[in-house]
Amino acid sequence: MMRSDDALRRALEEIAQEETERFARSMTQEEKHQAEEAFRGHRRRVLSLIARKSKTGGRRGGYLRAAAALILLLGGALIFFRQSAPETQPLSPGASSTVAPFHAISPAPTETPAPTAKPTAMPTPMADQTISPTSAPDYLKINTQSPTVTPISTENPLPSPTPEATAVPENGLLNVEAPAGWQGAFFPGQMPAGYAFEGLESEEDAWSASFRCGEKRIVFTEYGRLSALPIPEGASVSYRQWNGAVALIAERNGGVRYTWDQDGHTLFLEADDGEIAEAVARTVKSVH
Amino acid sequence: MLPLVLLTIENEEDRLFMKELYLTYHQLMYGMALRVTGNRDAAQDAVSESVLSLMKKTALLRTLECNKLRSYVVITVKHTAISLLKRSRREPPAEDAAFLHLTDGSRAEDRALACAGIEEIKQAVRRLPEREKDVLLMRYFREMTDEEIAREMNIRPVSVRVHLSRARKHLAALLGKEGE
Repeated sequence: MMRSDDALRRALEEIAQEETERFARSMTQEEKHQAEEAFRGHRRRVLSLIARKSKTGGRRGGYLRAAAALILLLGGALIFFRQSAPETQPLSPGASSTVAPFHAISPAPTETPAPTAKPTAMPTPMADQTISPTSAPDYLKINTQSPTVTPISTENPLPSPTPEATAVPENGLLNVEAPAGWQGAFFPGQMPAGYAFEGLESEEDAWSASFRCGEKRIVFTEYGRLSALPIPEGASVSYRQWNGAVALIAERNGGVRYTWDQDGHTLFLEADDGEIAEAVARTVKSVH
Repeated sequence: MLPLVLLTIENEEDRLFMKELYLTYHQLMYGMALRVTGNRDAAQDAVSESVLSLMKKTALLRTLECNKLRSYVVITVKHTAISLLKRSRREPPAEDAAFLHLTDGSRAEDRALACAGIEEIKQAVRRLPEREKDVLLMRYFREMTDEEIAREMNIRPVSVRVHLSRARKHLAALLGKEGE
């Protein structure tokens, strides 16, 4: 198959080049003149378009740059934590305290004070650029090819969705406390039974805690500023409203990420089990 | 383990590359767009859209040698202009191909293509209907994804593979006849 595809590819390349050459030779003086006229009247717009798109890399590129910069910082933090074996306090007996990969996710607390929640502008997935992560859960795999510069803080409100207020079902959640070492201002108030605290990760102005139940994980992340992460390619997007905040929900392959803002912080809750994700997200509360 | 891959594209270099590309090939780009659309405004729109498409392929474009880069740009403009023209004429979406059973035929297609020389394949491709030739160019020359081809052709992504399969089958049939 490879050899046949290679032959076809080469043939098509040559056809494309021949067609281009034929076209170039066939252009009349009048056509060239009209092309130049069209170019002159359009040049500034196109160059501006190039500059604009290159500068931001698109909205998604901006978020990807923020994500990649965060990864750089977290990579350093990860190395530091592994070397110094930071102490973390398991929430349940026998829970491991190994540092988990830093995932950006977020849910929402039910008891938080009225948030000044300013929803972040979330990019819409674009299928043309594939991004895939190296080690995220399957539904979060993003393979980034856009540039990363520095983390960006966004103050843009979400486009005005029509969020549907939904009730969170009771599902046997157990009360939990923020683990020792947690420096964020918010933390889930409850976790489903069977989920053991796994570990903490943090870097400047961002913190993440993960819980595991067998193969399933829940990861809560807090940014100490308004931020955004790219939506995984192919994820479906919807909105929910709770406690005055509007949460963006990205779902793919059964997994889900909730993202919302609270008091100038951006919170993420990510879970492999979409059914419990919202329940946990709604328990996120202020802990400081 | 890190959840995300580090991004490394340098925007300033990309901007300069695209600017250079546009300025170098502008005459061919507008010329092709004008020839397809027959209208300056539509031609300018086609070039704008083409530039946006090309910017998404900067990494690929950087690897192409001069002649191939030139033809890539011109063919991109041609396809984009045709697509725009069809949309502006409010042509109905291309008929979604019914799913075909591909397994039996694909090995025969591969054999036909593998055995044929480049010139034979070229002659066969030239005899294909324009649409089938375009879909092959989009996949094998412009290296577009199913989603990108679907947008360009105004069909569903799932139909792209079927169109490709049809084009390959037709090509194999033409090669088979030439070999007779």
